[in-house]
Amino acid sequence: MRRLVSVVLLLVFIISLLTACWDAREIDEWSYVYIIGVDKGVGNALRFTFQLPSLKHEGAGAGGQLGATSQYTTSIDAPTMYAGVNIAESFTSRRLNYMHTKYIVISEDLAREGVERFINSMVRSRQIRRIAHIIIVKGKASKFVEEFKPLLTSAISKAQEGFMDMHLDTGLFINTSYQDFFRDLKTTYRMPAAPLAAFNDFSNYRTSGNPPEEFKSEGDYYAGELPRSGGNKFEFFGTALFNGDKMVGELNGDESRALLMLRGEFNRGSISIADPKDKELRITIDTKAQKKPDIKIDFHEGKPVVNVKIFLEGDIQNLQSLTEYESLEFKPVLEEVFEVYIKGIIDKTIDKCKNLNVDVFGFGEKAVMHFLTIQEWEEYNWLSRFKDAEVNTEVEFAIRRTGTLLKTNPTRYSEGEKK
Amino acid sequence: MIKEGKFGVYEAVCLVIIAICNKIFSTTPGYITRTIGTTGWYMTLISCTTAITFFALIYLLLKRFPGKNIVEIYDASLGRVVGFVFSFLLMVSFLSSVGIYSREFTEIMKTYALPATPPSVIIGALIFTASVAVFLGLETIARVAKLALFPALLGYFLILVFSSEYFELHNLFPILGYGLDKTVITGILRASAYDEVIILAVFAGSLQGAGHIKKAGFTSLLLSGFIISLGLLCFSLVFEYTNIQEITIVAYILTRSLKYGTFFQRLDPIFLLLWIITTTIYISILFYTTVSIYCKLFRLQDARPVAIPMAVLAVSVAIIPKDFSSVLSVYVEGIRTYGNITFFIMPVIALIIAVIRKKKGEPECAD
Repeated sequence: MRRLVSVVLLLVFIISLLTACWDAREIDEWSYVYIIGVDKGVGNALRFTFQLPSLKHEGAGAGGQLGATSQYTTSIDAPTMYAGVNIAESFTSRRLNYMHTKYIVISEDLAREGVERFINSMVRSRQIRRIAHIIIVKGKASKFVEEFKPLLTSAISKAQEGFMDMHLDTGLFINTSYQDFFRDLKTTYRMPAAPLAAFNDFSNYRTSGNPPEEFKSEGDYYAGELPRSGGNKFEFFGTALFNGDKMVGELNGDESRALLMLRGEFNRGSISIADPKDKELRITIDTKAQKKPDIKIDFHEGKPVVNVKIFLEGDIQNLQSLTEYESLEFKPVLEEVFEVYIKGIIDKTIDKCKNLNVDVFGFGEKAVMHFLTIQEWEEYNWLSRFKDAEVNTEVEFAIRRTGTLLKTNPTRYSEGEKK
Repeated sequence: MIKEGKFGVYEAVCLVIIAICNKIFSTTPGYITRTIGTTGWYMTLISCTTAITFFALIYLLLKRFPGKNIVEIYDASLGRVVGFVFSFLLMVSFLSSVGIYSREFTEIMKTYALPATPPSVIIGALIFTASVAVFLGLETIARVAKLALFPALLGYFLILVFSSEYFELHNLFPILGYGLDKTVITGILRASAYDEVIILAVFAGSLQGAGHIKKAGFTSLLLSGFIISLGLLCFSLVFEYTNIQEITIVAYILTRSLKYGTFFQRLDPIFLLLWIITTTIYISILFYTTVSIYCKLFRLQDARPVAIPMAVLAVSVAIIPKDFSSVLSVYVEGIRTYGNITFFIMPVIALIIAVIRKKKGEPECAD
């Protein structure tokens, strides 16, 4: 009898398991948000824009590509993001899920007013992943979200990662995850910074005229100003600087490279300079970080003195001149000119940030090592002292390789060798 | 007296390590960082040293009364009435721990993984499993602990190794945190983090004499100190103190932050699996200990009839706190603060009184 009762109880228990989780939701009950845009609100405090996949097969069955998806966006004025999600769910057939959101795009206007009120609260949800990227966009975030339709692929998620990974190849903008941004909002060591994005109306792309006489580097532009036509309408270029939760300035592409070098996050980039012997010609070096920068901080009568040494190396990618910079005789000349050029950009970037009193470089990370207790450190208040810091920079650069050419012979003309 | 079977030093060490180290997955790292700042990783070594000192005294007590468990020793040393009070308080402490830690686990699961599941389902599942463990016996729990410890440690260390990519040395500075005095005082007070080692005294009869208890106790405390300290060190190296202070479960956020390319990321399910397994064993150990002390206290021969009523009590304790904030700041902190009294100080009082009253157990005869 006892065995029978046990078997019946066991069966009842097992049958109850067959129902699966009563609160489980199937994947087709969710709608996964790719991008969240945040603007200043009009009808309410904030405007949230969500980009979602429609998951409708476009043209499937009629020769179309099976599985191709399109995106749609929706904007909502709401007091908070979660309230906005609720509103959005009143006109969608699926629950919004932002567990796979990779971009959180904030408009510059809102960033200049302050981002704390929603950055702080968004992370309370388990669905917001701290590996999502924070992007500051010039103009409306809603427009960016609407227009974010990468041309080279229909895989939005992969494209999102791809765009951000480009900073590793160019250094012309930085990559900031939610975790980095959130951490830097609260930390006592440094200030937050985030990549800048903007729409390019291609108005800087002139179809006639002469190039500027003065050397203009490829990074001497701000987001939205690149002289180009075609391609995606948006571009990632430069860096937004924050004092606390408020955006206070921006860096161009060159300065963003300097920021990455000082942070020890610069990977590589093709950096052009004017030929030291012929200012009309250009040299491009595929520049890489040799190792992390050496940062030493001392205090002289309470004033911080920062000594930074940047280590770079590179390969010659482009050499227009006939000067044999590949040779042992001229290589040091090019190296020295390059060092001076990089040092100039770095000093300019540091001065810019000192004027804004924002240590986005993380010098505080080294300064903190001089303090024994948190009370002493917080009382010193590094973030307010950065503007008084004396920052001495030094760049060490070495050309390692010269590409597939060891020497550049002159072009021959019927008149003979061109001098 | 209930028969609890025998197990070796190895199983005992696994049992104690799981019971102690499970806290690294809880709200503890955030809390201690709020109190002491950047020094959690060496504060826990101070706690561990304090716990080792207390355990040395407990060992002396157990050695004085060979073959007896802590309940019998309280009776022998303090007399039946005071001994009963001491044992009863010990049982209440374990019962409170079962309830409060179940509730803490439930609240965290609701926050991070099962937001739509009613708390009663999670608490009920935990306590049900613990009740089944009582029916299966201590030996079973010890062997499951032995089986689970290595995969759990492997997963834990893998998470720490993967997180090394994000280590920043400066996060450990200022090296004295909110002050050395605060670190030392908090370290001593939070020796309660290691108080589960007392279960060796409760199950003294299941181990092969005082020598085995000594070996199991010191080994498990040293290993637990290493595991917890290493975890706190890694958390501090990845997150700055201002960050850790805010985070509910640091280990969970750490696993969610790991990212190696587009494929190898979002490792939180691994963490959840580890955490659920170790917590289930942890709650089972605490619940079994509660039932065992109760049976020893009232000299009951069979633990099984006690399991269900005790489970009801445990669930009742678990649903007392009004909200998550009070779970953390009132109940968990209460256990941490006053745990030292029942788990460490009372056995020391028993030792002192036994010495004063010249009470001693009979030496065990060799078979």
